[in-house]
Amino acid sequence: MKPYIYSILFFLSIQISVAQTKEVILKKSYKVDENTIFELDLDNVAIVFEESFDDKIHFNYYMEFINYSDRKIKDLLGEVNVKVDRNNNNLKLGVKNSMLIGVNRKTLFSMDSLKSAIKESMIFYRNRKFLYKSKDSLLKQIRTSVGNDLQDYLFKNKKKYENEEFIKNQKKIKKTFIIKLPNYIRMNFKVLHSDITFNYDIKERVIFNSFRTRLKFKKLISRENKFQLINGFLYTEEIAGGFYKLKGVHPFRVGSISNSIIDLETSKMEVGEIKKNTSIKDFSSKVLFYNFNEDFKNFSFEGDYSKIYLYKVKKANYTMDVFGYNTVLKMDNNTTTFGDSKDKKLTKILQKKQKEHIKPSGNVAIELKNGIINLID
Amino acid sequence: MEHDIRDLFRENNDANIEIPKNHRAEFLDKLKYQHKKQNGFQRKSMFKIAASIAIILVCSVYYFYVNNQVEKTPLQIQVAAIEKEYLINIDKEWEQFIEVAEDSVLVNKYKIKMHDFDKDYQKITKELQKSPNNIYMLEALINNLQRRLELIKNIKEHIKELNQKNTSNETIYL
Repeated sequence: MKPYIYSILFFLSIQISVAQTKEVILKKSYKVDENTIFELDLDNVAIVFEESFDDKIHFNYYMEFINYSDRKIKDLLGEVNVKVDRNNNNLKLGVKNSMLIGVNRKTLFSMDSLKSAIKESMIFYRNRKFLYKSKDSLLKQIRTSVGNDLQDYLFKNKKKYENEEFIKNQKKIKKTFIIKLPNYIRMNFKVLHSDITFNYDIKERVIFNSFRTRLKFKKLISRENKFQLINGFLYTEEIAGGFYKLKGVHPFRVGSISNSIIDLETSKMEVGEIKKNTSIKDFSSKVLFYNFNEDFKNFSFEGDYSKIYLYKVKKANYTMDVFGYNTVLKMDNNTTTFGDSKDKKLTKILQKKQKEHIKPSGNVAIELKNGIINLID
Repeated sequence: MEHDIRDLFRENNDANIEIPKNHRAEFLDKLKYQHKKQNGFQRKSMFKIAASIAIILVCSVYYFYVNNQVEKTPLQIQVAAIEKEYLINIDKEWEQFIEVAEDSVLVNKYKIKMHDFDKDYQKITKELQKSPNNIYMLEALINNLQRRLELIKNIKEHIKELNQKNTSNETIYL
């Protein structure tokens, strides 16, 4: 009986080893201190950052190939380029992968189902009403989101669109790259078409330049942060300082924001709560401000071809001045256009005065050219 | 049967015949003619060889071209159809946007945006040629087209909203 069982086990082990192969790409640790600068030059890679508590940066990068032949695995590994350089107290990670071997996506759909899902999601998002969200509900959305609006839609409706036969026939590569590092490390990022997730609050300054990258952070605390993002999306639970230039970032969801300067262009921004001293400049974005903090002091917004949504304005305890030209105000089911586009002079469209005997929580100053402002109760 | 070679010369009358005066010129003419004939023959054969090589080359190029045209997979055909549909819609939306937009600065900004999207699209297409059935790259391609389409639709609708007629210059107080 025994040899029989052994032969079955042996046979199964061969089957499993053929079906799934794990390849370690990088497994190294480096001692660091508070003066270490970590530079990352990334192209087509998905990385999860976690906090370490032993004054070391740990790299752990591996891939699991399912249903691939050894030869194909060898070919694919040829498309992975990773190197780590240490120069004085600078640690540099360079990753340059092909798109094929780069980021992880959940493949649940055939091309047919993906096509209909895209069309239906577009109709869904076009017809939705921009309803009020509390800060907590937006935070929940940020934490549970799996990707951009389309990916969230696909994930929520996967039973409708997933195609089992297609899934069965797909070969898979599971890519795992985890970097553990102390929270005092300063980082410079240059990123292209990648997925970056931080599972801890970043206290030190981060310089971030990215193109078509998906970013998910907890808290961004430093006032010295400098972000320049083109395309992709940005989810963060809190921004507590810094300068952020976002172009085509769709969506940019932030739980709360303070002490920051935001420069937007053709993006979609949702803010759970506006806190102290924030200013935003925009060209042609859709911006939703759900709540204002009880002591936000000042908030300013300057926009050209912007579309703004403000909620519960009448009940709110802040003062507000809206100036603009060629701007549409939508309120109480009425739509009115203010100012002439020819003379391009700003006129006062709306003023919200201080409530009697109540100290205002702050002042909102809005300047809109060719804009649309929606006041929703 | 022994012969004296001198008797043989004496018997041969040919040796006494006088050579005609224009013999040399005639000889040279014949030589030239022969040379020409030979050159013509060489040219003809060279031409034949070249023509054969050309025919072989054309046939091989055609053969390799036909054989290298790998048949498109059903997935590629579907993607091509989707691409075509998107590009037609993008063009249509763009035309409508141009019709309603009066601000040349706005139009130029959006032109640049479309150009940027197109550059990215070309890069994705190149990558896609390397691995035509990769669903991640197909998704990236469709995302690019989708974002372009949405962007133009949004700005077009924005301008339409701005152009509505109910105007006012009085400040609203809350």
